[in-house]
Amino acid sequence: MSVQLIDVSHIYAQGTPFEFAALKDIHFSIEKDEFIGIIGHTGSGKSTLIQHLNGLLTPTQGSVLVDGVEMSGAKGDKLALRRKVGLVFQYAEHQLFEETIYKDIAFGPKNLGLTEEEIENRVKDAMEVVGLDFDTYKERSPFELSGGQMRRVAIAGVLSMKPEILILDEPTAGLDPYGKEDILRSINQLHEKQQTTVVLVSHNMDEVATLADRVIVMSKGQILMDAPPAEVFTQVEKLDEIGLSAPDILYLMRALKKAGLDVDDKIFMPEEAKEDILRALKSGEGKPCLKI
Amino acid sequence: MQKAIEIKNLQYKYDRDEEEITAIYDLSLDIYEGEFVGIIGHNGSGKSTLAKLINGIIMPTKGDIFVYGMNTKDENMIWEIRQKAGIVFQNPDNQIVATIVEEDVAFGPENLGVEPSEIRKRVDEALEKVRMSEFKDRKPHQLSGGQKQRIAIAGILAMEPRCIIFDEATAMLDPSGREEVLACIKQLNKENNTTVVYITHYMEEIVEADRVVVLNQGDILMQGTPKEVFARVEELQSVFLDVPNITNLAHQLKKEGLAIPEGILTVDELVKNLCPSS
Repeated sequence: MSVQLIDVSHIYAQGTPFEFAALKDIHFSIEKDEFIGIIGHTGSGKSTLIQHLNGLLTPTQGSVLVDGVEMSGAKGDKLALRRKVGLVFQYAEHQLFEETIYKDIAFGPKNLGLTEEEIENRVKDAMEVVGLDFDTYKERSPFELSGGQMRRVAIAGVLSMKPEILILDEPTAGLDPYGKEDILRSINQLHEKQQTTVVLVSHNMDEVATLADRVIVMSKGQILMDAPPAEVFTQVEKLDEIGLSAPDILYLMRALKKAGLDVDDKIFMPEEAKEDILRALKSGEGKPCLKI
Repeated sequence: MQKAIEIKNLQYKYDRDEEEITAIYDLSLDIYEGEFVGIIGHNGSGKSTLAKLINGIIMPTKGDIFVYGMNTKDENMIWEIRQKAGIVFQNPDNQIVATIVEEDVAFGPENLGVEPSEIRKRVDEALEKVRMSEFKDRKPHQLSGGQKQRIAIAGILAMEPRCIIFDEATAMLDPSGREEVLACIKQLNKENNTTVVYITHYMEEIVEADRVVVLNQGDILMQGTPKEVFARVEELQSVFLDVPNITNLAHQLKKEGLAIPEGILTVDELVKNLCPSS
């Protein structure tokens, strides 16, 4: 399925002194199988934007088309839309409410009126994707888990609806590196094995740099850039200007080049940087740098 | 130097499903007036438990904690302890009580019985320090997560504490929001001599700390200057801590045989070591 936003604007509290334009003339589309990273400063409109993708918010102006069908008006079938587009909110674990992990994850499919067997299969599948052992965890209370595990249960609850597009709003915020990696690995697997379209909202450049194949940069309610990671992250000045920084490694490569080492200053992945630095040091002659 | 916080043979246990869990084993730590101490550890290492113990929200199973000489077990002192050592938590939504930003910031000093004119001054200053002055008439729910967190910090600042404990206070902020808040915390530490206990997952945030304490499974795994601690890359990774990208890259290059020191923390440092005569 594809989602298209055509000249979408969203104004909060219109007609009051608190009127605030959170989105201005947003125009973009999401195609099947994409992995999109959305980055932007706090308050840049990221969260408002993704809520338009599953009909939680409707545009003040413009339209949202899903597979070519208008969704934004009163006529749009928002229920059907939400079945296809799963949204995992920030701090999704705050929305857990059931007595057992099984019941919590089963809540969505149950409301779809599926058979018990199908529900159980979906819960099993979802738990497998997020790396929680079914037999160990199904009867446990979600509230006695660690923060990272609770977050995984919450994500499983959305996955059990088998969404075609999965949107995650800062899914790793507040987790330690270990918990972070776990969740990112699950998301990546879902994208690669089940061809789920993923939209990942994140503050973390490195996260987006390694996973996404398309990056959308938001600033003040508008799309500032929409390009592959390599194109976005090398525009350091532009990112600095809107209060985002490029990955550290990129700054290092630029600084090394300036210092006289002949490295590729467009590299932002640590592994590539290591190889390139070693290569440049080996080939260097009469340079102000270490010789190896 | 005066001790701001003195932790003596601290142990903390709690029950979960009739099973006894030890969150902190036997921890002793002194934090001095004016110090900036970074505490890192993965989820479940005991660092948030420690913050709650220092603030008297929970009580030690064994051992004692003294905040400016006051034992957290002494109920008569608990309010003074919380005024002297304020705490900023991870989630701003749990910390905001009022419906208007400046009223929220005024909540603490009002409860301390501060004069109205003094409250006005403190609220304005606190909002200025977290760069939220222009939002003082807004409703907190209209703010983004990062903005709300800065309001929560302003609320603590308005109580003029001598020590502030930040419990993953920047986890929800974007890079520039984090930088802004961190700069403000560093400024408080340098200019007001406020003691800072900074609990975080992000090692990059504490490379300028006076001292770094690494917690693992309720114990101190290591402590020292950031340089000393971050030089132990493999040990840190073995307890699931992320070493800053630059530090890790430097470590990898050193392993390839390059003559550079361990514990490189910044881009500039690595450039100077790789290209010494530039």
